[in-house]
Amino acid sequence: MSAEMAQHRWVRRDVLGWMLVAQGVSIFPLFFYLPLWLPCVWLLAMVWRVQIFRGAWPFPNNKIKTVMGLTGIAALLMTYAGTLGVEPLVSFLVLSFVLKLVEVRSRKDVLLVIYVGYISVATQFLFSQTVLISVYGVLSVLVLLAAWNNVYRSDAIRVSEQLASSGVLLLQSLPLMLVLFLVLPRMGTLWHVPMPKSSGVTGFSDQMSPGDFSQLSQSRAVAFRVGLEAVDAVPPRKEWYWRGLVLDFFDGRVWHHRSNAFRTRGEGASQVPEHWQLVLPPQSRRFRYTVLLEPHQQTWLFTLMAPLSAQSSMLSLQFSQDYLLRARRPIASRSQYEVVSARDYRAHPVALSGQDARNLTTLPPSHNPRAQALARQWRSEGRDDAAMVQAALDFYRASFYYTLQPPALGYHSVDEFLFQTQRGFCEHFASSFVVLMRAADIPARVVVGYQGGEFNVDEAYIIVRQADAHAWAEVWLADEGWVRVDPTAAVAPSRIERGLNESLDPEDRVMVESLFSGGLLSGLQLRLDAWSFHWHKWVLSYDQSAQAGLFERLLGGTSATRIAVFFIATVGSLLLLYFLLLTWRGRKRYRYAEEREYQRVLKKLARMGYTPQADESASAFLSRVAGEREELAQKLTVIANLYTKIAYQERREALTLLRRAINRL
Amino acid sequence: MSTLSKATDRRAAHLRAWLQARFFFWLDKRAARSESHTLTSKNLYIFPTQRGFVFLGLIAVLWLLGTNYQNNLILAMTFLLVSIFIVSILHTYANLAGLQLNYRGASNAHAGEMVEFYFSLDNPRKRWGDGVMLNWQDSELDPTNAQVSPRENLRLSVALASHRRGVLQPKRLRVESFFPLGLLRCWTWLNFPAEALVYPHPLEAPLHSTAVADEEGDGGHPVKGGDDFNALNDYRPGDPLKHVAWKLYAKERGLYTKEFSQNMSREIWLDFSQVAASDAEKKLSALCYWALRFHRQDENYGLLLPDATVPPNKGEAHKARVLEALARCVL
Repeated sequence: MSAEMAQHRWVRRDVLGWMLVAQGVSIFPLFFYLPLWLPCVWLLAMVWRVQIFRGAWPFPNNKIKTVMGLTGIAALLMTYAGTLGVEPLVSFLVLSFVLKLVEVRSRKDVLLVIYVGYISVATQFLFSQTVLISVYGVLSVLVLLAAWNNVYRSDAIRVSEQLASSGVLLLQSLPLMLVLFLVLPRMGTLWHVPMPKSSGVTGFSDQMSPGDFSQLSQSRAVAFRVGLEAVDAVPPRKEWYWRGLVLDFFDGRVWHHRSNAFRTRGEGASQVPEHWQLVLPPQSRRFRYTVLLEPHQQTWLFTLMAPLSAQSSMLSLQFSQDYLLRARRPIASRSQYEVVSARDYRAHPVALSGQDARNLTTLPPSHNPRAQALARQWRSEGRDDAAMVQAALDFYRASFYYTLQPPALGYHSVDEFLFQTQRGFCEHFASSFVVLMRAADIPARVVVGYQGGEFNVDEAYIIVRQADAHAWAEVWLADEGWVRVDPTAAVAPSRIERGLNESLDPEDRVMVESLFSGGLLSGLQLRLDAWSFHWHKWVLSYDQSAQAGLFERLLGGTSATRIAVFFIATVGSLLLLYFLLLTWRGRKRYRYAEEREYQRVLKKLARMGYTPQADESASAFLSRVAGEREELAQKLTVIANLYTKIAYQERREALTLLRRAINRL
Repeated sequence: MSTLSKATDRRAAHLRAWLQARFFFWLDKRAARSESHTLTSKNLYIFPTQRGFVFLGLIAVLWLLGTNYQNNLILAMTFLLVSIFIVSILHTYANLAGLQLNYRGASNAHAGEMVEFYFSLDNPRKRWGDGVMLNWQDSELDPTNAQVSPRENLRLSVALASHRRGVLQPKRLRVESFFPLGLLRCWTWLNFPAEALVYPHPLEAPLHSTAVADEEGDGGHPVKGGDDFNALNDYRPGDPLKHVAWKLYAKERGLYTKEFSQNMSREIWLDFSQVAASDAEKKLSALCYWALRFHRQDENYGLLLPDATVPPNKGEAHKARVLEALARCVL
């Protein structure tokens, strides 16, 4: 009976208030990723709960609860059209969390809300993992702790005091967390899980049809970052062509890639096989770099030509004959891999196989007859392959210009671009160039990836953004092998040397400039990005191999005993420190004056060899001593009487008498 | 099936009772009965609560989430919750350790009423003590909840329902706390020499012999009490307040009690053997009723019990004596 009463006892006003705030704080960031109607439901639930507390509205009965639950689930089904993924699941969690609010009655319900609050904070990290959201997460935990702690207080205390006492708990937990984070072993994914949609910004798709406007070329979102090891060996900016994918099949309008080009190699580390005919001069310079790739839900990875080897602790890598690097599974979370590239090389200078040569010169005859005719005409003028390339670049240089807002193109898209509009961006140039080359029987292909990037001098790394997405061409020349040709560079050389912004018309620049910030702000942004880079590199990408590296540096080895000793020593000393802090009483101070005086008596009597037994009260002790020492009996009785008077009858005025009596002792 | 589970339940209950008995046997050997106890590592016990285990389950779920998504921030959050759990062990312990509990006495009550046992909770530390719950073993009442600020001495009482007349000696006092997060329970059992008198529950029943004739015949000499003003005496604690000479007190001439006299001597004996009631406890209840009634009427009354006698008198002190005799009466 009484237990049940206790269960259903009303929660205190301040407990309820804290709970509402904590819930709001912990689910707030999720609202950016979930349907818009969820915050409305939350507001409604909050108003309802407050009204219940004020006695204005009743608790919902079972019928209303069922209706609310079913409506919510129906709304979820409608919003997500019945698909199962992270967003619908998190939405469901938040919905139940919010609806639970209305029927919070007992302490147990409050605790449930707080526990679910921790899960909500954790699910935020599925959607975003920036420094900012992490700091926010820690603050959310602080508020949740305060709300939680408040449940167990006998009485309400001030908000600042509550925050301070929870802050102590949190501050003491953080170093311990750090040790656990660094030392506890990591495991790989246990089973396949759906990934949140909003986290993956696809750089580009695996096909290209010049004529569709590319939204991505304007996005400031980071595609990947490149950490450099030997800065001096890094090629100049105009050489930064980050190859991602080769498109070698053209149906007249759209470029695709043939998918048979990849050959499986061993797990973990990967190297370009020797028979793929990469010829390196004796003093070929090499440089090593680490790519920190944002998830793009695709398998391709980005490297500079010519990649020699790559390795990653998180990804299983393989090279293709096109010198492309690929992961076996789509990149669903931020990943890191290390590449060694050669600066001087010749790729495949030996003749292509007949099949390859045929594939790489194929064009659909039904499309773009004028372009093909132009190429044949140049060829008939007696030009060799190199002169053909030069002729095409001269052709572009004569009357083409670069814009992000090209006119739409029709059926013969290359013909229309080459002979009518003559305005476009990288995709148009690369596509039409490859068509011209193929028409002249020169094996050629389109390469897509990123070009350029922003160099962060202080931190020696390059930020490559979605706006740096680029398409260029590769042609196969006898003796030289594959050669990169960027027709865009012929038209807008600044696009290659200085980036997108410089190469634009004033009109285009206005459009783009709202996204790019200049001057001071840009410096700040670079600083922030440096933070973000380190955050990614050291925190988000911390894994088994990083762990092993840390142990190697910190402990000089990775043996289990070493790690165990380190773990026990750090955790043990932290806990010991906290224990001492918590049980440290400080200097003995007395709230009451008579208590201080009594201590003087104790000191005097201790010199005579009398000490009170544990739990012996002052008067009992004094009368015991009085019984044993006749000559002191009278004085001690006086002291005992005065002490009792002051302590128990609040007779403050007797304090001077007590002092004098003690002095006479 | 159900009989089987019932049997299992019974066996589990037996086992639990046996374990508890062993535990208390061991406990009583360690902690002697004393007026004052300090909570230290010697007498404090700590163990996760059910909610604590649920929290550990939550941590496991978050670890799975973080591992499956290879999400370092979720893992970090998981480790943060683990750390909070570990640190809260220290906090739960430190919340109680160092507190001192002194027994101060008890209120007396009639059977069926609540007895309050008074304690002072001394906090010599510079930390708060919060969410301290005190309750008697096997008590069905809610625990006393205390929050004691640094270097403060808090007076508090822990109630216990009295069911039977007699001397109430509560079993052990349980001091426990779930503070700060309810993940762990820190508790101790303390033995105090606590004792309270439980008077009989007053019960109206006919009393055969109320007044006993004065031995000196017609009762010519005045006895104290009655309606006629006789003299002024110094006030003694226990004198009925309605007899205090308030007018004199108001003139600041001191506290006096007016003495009244009555020509008829009425010496009432409450005799156990003369009560018409079905059993002995009911008889005591009836005596209690009459004692209270005569006290209210400011009569002289005495008590005759099989094992005690209280000569006739009146006033608060007398009433207390009579009630104590009733409470302590062994039948």
